Parts: sequence; structure tokens; C-alpha cells
Amino acid sequence: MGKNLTDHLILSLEFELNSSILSHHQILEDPDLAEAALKAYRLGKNGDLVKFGGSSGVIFPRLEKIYKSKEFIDIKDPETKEFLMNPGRPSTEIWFMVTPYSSIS
Amino acid sequence: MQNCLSRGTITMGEKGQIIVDPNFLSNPFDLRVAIETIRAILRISLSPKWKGDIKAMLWGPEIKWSPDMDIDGIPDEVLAAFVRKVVNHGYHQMSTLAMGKGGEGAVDKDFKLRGFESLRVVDLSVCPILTNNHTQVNAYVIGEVAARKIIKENGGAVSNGIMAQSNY
Repeated sequence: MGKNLTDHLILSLEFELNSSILSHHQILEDPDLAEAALKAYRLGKNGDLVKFGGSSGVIFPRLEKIYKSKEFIDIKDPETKEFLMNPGRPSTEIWFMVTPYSSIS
Repeated sequence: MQNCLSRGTITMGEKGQIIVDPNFLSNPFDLRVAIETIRAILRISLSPKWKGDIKAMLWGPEIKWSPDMDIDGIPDEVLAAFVRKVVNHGYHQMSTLAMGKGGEGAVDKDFKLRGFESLRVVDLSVCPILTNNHTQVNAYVIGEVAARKIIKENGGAVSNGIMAQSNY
């Protein structure tokens, strides 16, 4: 009881496609921008926080390099290895999002 | 990320407080998946389809992003440092009362908590593994399976149709 806690971990990278749309970190790490964005949102549900392009796709790829890695080879439990190697099992998940709030971390 | 092998705990502290220790990245395999996921994202960012559209990397590992960068040449440590700095939970934390066969596991196949007369747990904590999907699906299936068992046990009739109705 209380053991075995697991999760789908998340991290994100951000790329600039259009300089008029600020990234999550650009807004959060600049106090003036963050305040202006929040103010615009509170006043009229407007501003940088609502420039939302949406989630444009998701892939669950197989990354073969993972199965040749030392970390994979070092897994001792054969059942775990078999689970990971199942041909239908993806290695990871990648989301594509277009928004200043694409980033969770 | 999918198929993380690290396992955390939920315990109760001396003052009754709940202590969640996710223990993320404690298994080196998870860090490998994270590193190769970042390489895959960088590879996508250099795809011909994006050519000219991506102007810069605004948030990422300590590397200079450029259209002719050598992704495989980036040292693992550089990517690992970024992973450790930013990795976060995915709101899919579960499996802390895992169901098991043959006397193993916190709950039995009827969702009954072992050691208790008639206390059932019907939520994502009973899933022994985290599957490769949004956990909402698992929650629906667990709810439906448990509902069928409880109805049957109490003499009720269960149709073969899908009981769960989604609002979406």
C-alpha cells in the first residue's frame, strides 16, 4: 500500500515560429510581461495569455536507440524488458502545441 | 514520457500528513528515455517541413540550436542536466494500491482491499502498470468493471452493452 507510484513524466522545449507570440518562459521570467499579460486577461480576457494556437498533434514513436542503450541492457528483470520491447509499445510521447502556455515545466 | 521504471511512494508522516515522494528519474532508464525524447524533438525541429518556420529555440537544453546542428553529437550530460532541471509530473500519478494475483497486491481482482472485510478501492491506484494512453480511459474501464462486479454480487442484472456514457 502506498508503493509503486508512477506517472507519465513531462518536459518541454519551446521554439519560436512567430515573434509576436511569446513563449511560456518569456512571459513568466519577465515580471513586467507577466504582469501586463495577467492585467490584459483580467480586464478583457485578452493579451498574451490568450494567444492560443491549439494542440496540433501527438505522436507515440519508437526510438530504437533506447533499446541499444546501456540503461536498457542493465535492466535485470526479463519481464520488464519484454514489456518494453513489445513491438506495439511506444518509447515515448511527443506533443506539438502552439501557445504561450505549451510548456508545463 | 512513457514506461517510466522509477517508482515512488505515498506515506503518512508522524503528524498525519501525507507525504508523496514521486522518486522521479531514480531509475537510469527513465533518464535515457528523456534524453532520447529530447533528441527526437530536436530532430523534428530540423525536419525539412519546418525549414524556415522555426526561428530559434526559446527553451531547451544548453545548446546552440541551428538548422545544421549535430544532434547525436550533443553530450548526454548536457541533455540530462536539462531533464533534471525541468522534468515534471504529468498528472497521471497512480498505481499505489496495485491489484495482484495469488494473494499479491494491495487489492484483489474484486477491488477488495486485502486485510479488510468489504472495503473496495475503485480508482486508478489499482492499476499495476501505467499504460501508454491518457488515464481517463483506464478510469472509465476500471469504473465499469467494478460496477459490473458489484451489481452482480448483489443480485442485479448487467447487460452486455457499454454502461459508461461519456459527455464528450
